[in-house]
Amino acid sequence: ERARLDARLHELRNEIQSVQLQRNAIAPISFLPNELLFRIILYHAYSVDIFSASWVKAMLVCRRWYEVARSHAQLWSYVSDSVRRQSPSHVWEMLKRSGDYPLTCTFSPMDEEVYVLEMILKKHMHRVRSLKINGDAKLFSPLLKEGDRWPILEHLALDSWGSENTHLSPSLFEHGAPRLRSLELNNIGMSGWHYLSNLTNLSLVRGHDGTTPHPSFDVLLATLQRSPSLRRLKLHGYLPSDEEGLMALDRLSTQPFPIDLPLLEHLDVVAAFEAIDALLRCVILPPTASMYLIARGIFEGWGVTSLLVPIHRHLHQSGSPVLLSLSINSYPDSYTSITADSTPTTESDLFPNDYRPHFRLVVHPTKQSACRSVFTKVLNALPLDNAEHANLTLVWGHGLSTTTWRKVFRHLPRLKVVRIGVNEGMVAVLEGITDAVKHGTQGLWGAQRRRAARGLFAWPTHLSLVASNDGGTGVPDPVAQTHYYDSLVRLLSEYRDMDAPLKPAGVCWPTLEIDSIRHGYVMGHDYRHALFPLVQDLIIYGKSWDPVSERKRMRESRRKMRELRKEFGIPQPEDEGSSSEGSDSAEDPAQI
Amino acid sequence: MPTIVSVDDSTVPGEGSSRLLLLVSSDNKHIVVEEDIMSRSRFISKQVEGFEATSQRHAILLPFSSFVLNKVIEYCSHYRGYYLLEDDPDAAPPGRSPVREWDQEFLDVDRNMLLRIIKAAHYLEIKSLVGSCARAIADMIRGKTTEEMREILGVENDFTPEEEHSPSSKCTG
Repeated sequence: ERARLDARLHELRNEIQSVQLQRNAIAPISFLPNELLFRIILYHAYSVDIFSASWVKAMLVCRRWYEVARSHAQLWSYVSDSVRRQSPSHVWEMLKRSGDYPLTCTFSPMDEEVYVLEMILKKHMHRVRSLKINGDAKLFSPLLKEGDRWPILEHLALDSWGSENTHLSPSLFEHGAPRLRSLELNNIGMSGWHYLSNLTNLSLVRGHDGTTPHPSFDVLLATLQRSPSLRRLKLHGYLPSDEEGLMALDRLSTQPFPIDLPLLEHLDVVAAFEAIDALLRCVILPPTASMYLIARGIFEGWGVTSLLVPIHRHLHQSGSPVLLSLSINSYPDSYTSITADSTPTTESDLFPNDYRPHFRLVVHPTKQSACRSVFTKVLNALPLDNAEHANLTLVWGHGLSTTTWRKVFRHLPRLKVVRIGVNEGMVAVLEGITDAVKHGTQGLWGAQRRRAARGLFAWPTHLSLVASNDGGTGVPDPVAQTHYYDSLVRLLSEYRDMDAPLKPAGVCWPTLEIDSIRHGYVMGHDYRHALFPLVQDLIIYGKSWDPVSERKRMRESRRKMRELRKEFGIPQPEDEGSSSEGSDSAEDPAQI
Repeated sequence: MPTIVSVDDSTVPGEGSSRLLLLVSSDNKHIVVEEDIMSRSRFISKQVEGFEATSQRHAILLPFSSFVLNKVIEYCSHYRGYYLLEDDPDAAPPGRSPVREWDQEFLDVDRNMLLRIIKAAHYLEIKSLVGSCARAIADMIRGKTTEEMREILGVENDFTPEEEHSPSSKCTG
């Protein structure tokens, strides 16, 4: 009897499976050819991380998906040690399934795990298209031996955690990496540069205190010369900073034929300002290339002078994007940065992930006078006639003084919108603007005077306060915030009463906007009644605010409440009548 | 293979600066469209090249409905004159770039419609639209369990219990 039932069960299972197969055959997605199913699975894998094993859930949707995924080698060609950690056999199975498809490998090897990397380099080097290793170079650099052949290697990225001097084999590419286009070395030295050519991406990063040897400037220039299609060039700490190196560099930079890099999209250099100057004299950048410079050694205003010519030349050449916005960052006793971009607003983040503004210069002036000098020189060198938006949300503390801000605003003739946090920086900025308005065009010379003569002199009219940005990382301190809002009220009153050539007394500040209530912090809202008479337009959380409309809204809300209470038979509170006449004392900010 | 039929001059509006094509959908709707708009389709471009050999005007019969065809034409009109990397036959296959914002809105349709569009785009050889549709479908199943994926895609689990629990199907690695 049991055998009969088992047979029947088996029969039913087969029948169910057959019905399921038939059902799947008429499912709309089954009408797609295998090629399209593969594309869908591939994009799914990309979206969840093709290097991890999590995308394979999609294989088990049905038999057809399983077969499609199994048979497409590309899906199995992304090899990482994260897969191996889940199951050691997976990496071997993946390599088998990937057939001869070019491999994209990413490894973070630990001591005992290097053997997998070694095996891949030994047996599959001929089909490694991209290799990224992140770990202690002591472990992986011996695996990258002399005489290795990399016939299809296109991208090599090596990132060493170790602080020790690590140097790749001098003849790593002796036998050829003919298709290598992207090279990224982080804290790793290399020689044999003459084997490299036609790079499209070169990124060389060396830590501050690293002893990693770097190529000499002439070797680097020769590599650039052999890479006319270079699109991204990143040199962090790779240009000489000692006196001897800088002298050699200066000598080389006077060569008569600069290197043309017509396709360059992004130049990112961290080096001594003399080294940056020399590099910029040696290369010709296309007008569209973005420039991100961290110039070390600029402690006084004169230091930046040598960079002004190449910066001016680059940003003013025909075809350069029109700069519409800028941001200024300042951290007391640390750095000051000026960013300008062709987008209507500029991100202020100093180390953005994907955001590449058209221009950014970071310097380290030590005194206010040095800051002023840097700002005067750099802002004059930038084509900012069309810039209308300034992001100052990373300005806080006592980084820049009122006098410095006055200088800044007198050099930015068309600026209309200033976005800033509610902090000490805001007070200095407002004082600086007020001061600039008070002085009008007095004492302006050169380009500034010519702009004033053309009627371009103006000052910001729209102040946008990021209410929660007080410079700290947690909830803003209410005591400090009270001080800042009191200062805001005082400064706007002073502005209203100021009688200057370009601003008659009694004219209020045009627009004040308060936004971004992180942590539910609403102090800006609490000050609305004090701020309202001091500005022409007060915008709170995106809406124009005035007390009459607010009272009307409150009355309407109370009327509705009374009706609801009546409808549900809830007794009316005794003080309802007195508060319904528009007293603000019982207002709930959350209702606004 | 599509059927190419000759049409009278009266069917197609007069020629302007950009030539006009007559597309006939499977529900027999005649849609006149500028050749420039459809130049993103390699299939249509190849057909047009074929026409140039003869002096006759032609209509192109397509095996999908006018509703789907109109969606494809809307896509092609939006990107008329734009260079899209995915449509470049010499460009490397696209990687993990996200769906363009406009495409996201354009492809905010039900599953069956999305499948019809991808099939039509595949037929017409519009690589950029195929890529956007494939990404949109991939996004639908992202972060879902296998069972949820089956539900979204409207398919049944047709593995036997043995297959489902066998090491080779789990691997997957």
